[in-house]
Amino acid sequence: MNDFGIGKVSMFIEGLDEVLYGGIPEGRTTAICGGAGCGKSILAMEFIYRSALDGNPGVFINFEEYDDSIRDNFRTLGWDLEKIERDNLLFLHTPENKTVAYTGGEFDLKGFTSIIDQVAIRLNAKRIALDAIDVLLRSYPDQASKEKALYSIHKWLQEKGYTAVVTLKDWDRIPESSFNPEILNYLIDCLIFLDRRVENQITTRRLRVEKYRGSGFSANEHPFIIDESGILLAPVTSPNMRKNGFGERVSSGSREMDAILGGGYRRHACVLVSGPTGAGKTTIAALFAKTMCENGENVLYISFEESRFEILDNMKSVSIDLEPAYREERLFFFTNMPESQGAEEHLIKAIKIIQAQKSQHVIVDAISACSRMGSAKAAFDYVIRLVSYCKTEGITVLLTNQTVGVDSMEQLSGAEISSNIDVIIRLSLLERSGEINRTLTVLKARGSNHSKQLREFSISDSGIEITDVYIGSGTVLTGVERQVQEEHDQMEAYRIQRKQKHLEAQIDILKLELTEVEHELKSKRLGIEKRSEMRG
Amino acid sequence: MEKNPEEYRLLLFVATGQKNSIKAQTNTERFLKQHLKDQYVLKIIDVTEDPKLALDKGVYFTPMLMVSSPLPEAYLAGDMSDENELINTILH
Repeated sequence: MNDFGIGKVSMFIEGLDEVLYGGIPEGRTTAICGGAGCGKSILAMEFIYRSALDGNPGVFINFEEYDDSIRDNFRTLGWDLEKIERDNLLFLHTPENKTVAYTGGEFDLKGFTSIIDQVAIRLNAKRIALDAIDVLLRSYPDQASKEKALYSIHKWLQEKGYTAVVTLKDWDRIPESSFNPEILNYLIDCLIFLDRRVENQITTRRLRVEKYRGSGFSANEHPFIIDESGILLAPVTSPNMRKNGFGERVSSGSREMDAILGGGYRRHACVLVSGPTGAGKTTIAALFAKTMCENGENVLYISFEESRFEILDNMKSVSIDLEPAYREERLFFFTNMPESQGAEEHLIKAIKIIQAQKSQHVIVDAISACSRMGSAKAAFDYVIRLVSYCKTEGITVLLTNQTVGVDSMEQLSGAEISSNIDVIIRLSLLERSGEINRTLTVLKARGSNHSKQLREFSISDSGIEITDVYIGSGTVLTGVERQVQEEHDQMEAYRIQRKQKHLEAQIDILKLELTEVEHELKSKRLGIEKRSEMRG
Repeated sequence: MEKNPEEYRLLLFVATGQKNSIKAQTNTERFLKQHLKDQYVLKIIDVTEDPKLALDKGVYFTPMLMVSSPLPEAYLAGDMSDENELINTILH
C-alpha cells in the first residue's frame, strides 16, 4: 500500500516488490547503481520487458552496448524483445559509442528528449529505462555541465510523468570529475544499489535499497541471482516465525523409530539426522520420503552428494523403492554440486522448486556439503534461510549432516543451527571385534516425549531395523559382539559358580584338617600330663 | 553528376527554436565557407522533425555536428564557436 499517497508500480521481479513495499514510485525516477556485471541492465530491462508483457509499453535506451548484441543477450533469458518491439510494446535503442569533440557554448539534450517524447507518444509508453546514463554524461566537458545535464534529464522525466529507471556505475567507480554523488541523491526518489562479490571463486549478488523518498523499505541486503528466467531475490524471511505450531505426527517410515520419537516426526518440524559416512543418514531420509509420497504428499529431495540415479539405486538395494514416487511426480530430486553456484543461487532455486512442486516435505542431503558453496558463512546462510522459509510455509525439513571424527556437539547440531532444529537423530558407527555396527539415538525432540536410549540400528536388504541394545558391564554392545558377550557372561557365571563350589569344598577339607590337628594336639597334651604324674 | 571524392559531407543536428542551435548553424556555415569553400555538403537536421536519423546516428545532444565523410566519422557538440577545435576535428 502507499505510504504517503505515492503510487507504486510493480517491478515484476520476484521478491523485489516486497523489499520496496509495493514497487518503485510511479511517475518518478529510480536509480540503480552498481559495478560492471552486477545486473543493472537486466534489472532495468526486466522491469520494461515484463511491464510491456503486462500491457504497459516502455522505452529502453542503452548507452553502453556497442551493437545489437543486447537483443541476443536478453534472448538467453528467454525474452523475445524483437517480438514486443514488433507489437509496439517496446522501443529499444542502443547507439554506437562515440567520442565527441566539444566546440564551445552550450549543448543540451533537448533533441534527445523530444525524440523520446515522440516515441513515447507513439507507443503510449509511460515507462522509461535509461541504461548506463553515466556513459551519456561522459560527453560533457566538465562537472558542472554533467550535473546540469543530469538535472535537466530528471526535470524532463518528472515533467512528463515517466516512471523511470536509470542505471549507472557505482559512485566510487565514476571518475572524480564526473559529478557530485550528492546531486543524484538529491534528484532521485528511489535509490537501489547492486553489488557483486566473488568469495572463494563463487559469485554472490546482493541488492540494497539506499533510500526511498516517501516510502518505507526493507533496508537489508538481499541476495539475488540471475537465472534463466531473470532476476530472483531471496525471500525476506525472519527466523523462527512459524506459521503454524507443530502439526500432527507423520510416520518416519519405521515403526520402531516412530515409537522412539514418541509417535513419529511432527509436521512442520525440522529434523536433523547426523552421523558419519555410511551410518545410514540417506536411508533414514529416503525412508521418510517414500512414506510421505505413499501418503500422497509431495517431497523435494535436495542432494548435494549423490545423483538421482545413485540414490534410487542405492535405496532399492535396501528395499526402499523410490521409483514409484518419482514416476508419479510425488518425489522430486534437485541434485547439484555445491560448488556449482553460490549459496544464494542454490537457495533461490530450491525455493522456486518448492513453490512449483508445492512440497510438503523437504530433504537436504547433506548440509555438511554446503560449506563447498564458498564458505562456512555461505553454508550457514543457506541452511538458516531454507529452514526459516520451510518453517514459515509449514513444510517439514529433514536435514542430514555428515560428521567427521569425534561427534562434537557443534558438529551434531550441524553448522551451528541447533536453535532451529526440533529433532536431532544421531547415528554412529561402533567398531569392535572387527565389526562395524550402527547405533541410533534421539538426542532432542521438541514437543515429543521421546526415548533417549541408544539403539542398535541395522540396514539390510530388507530395510532398516531398530533394536534395543544389550547393556552389559558398563558399555553398550551391539551385533555379534553382543551375542558373544552374552555367551561369555553365561560361561563366566558358570565358572564363578564352580569356583564357589570348589572353595566351599576346600573349606570342608580344611575344616576336616583342622579337626584332625585339634585331635592331635589334644592327645599330645594328654600324653604330657600322664608322664609328669609318673615322675612325681 | 560525379561527386568530388574529396568532398566533405556533414550533418548538423539541431532542435528548432533553440538558441544554441541557431548559433551553431551560423557558426558552422561560416566556418565551412571559410575553410572548405564549396567542397562540402551540409545538411541541417531538425531532430524534433526527424528523430529516427538522430537516433540511428546516436545523436542525443543538440546542437551536434557529424562529419560523415571523409572517414572516420567525427562528432562535435556545442555551438561551434571554438574554431581551433573545429579545425582539429574536421580538417585533420
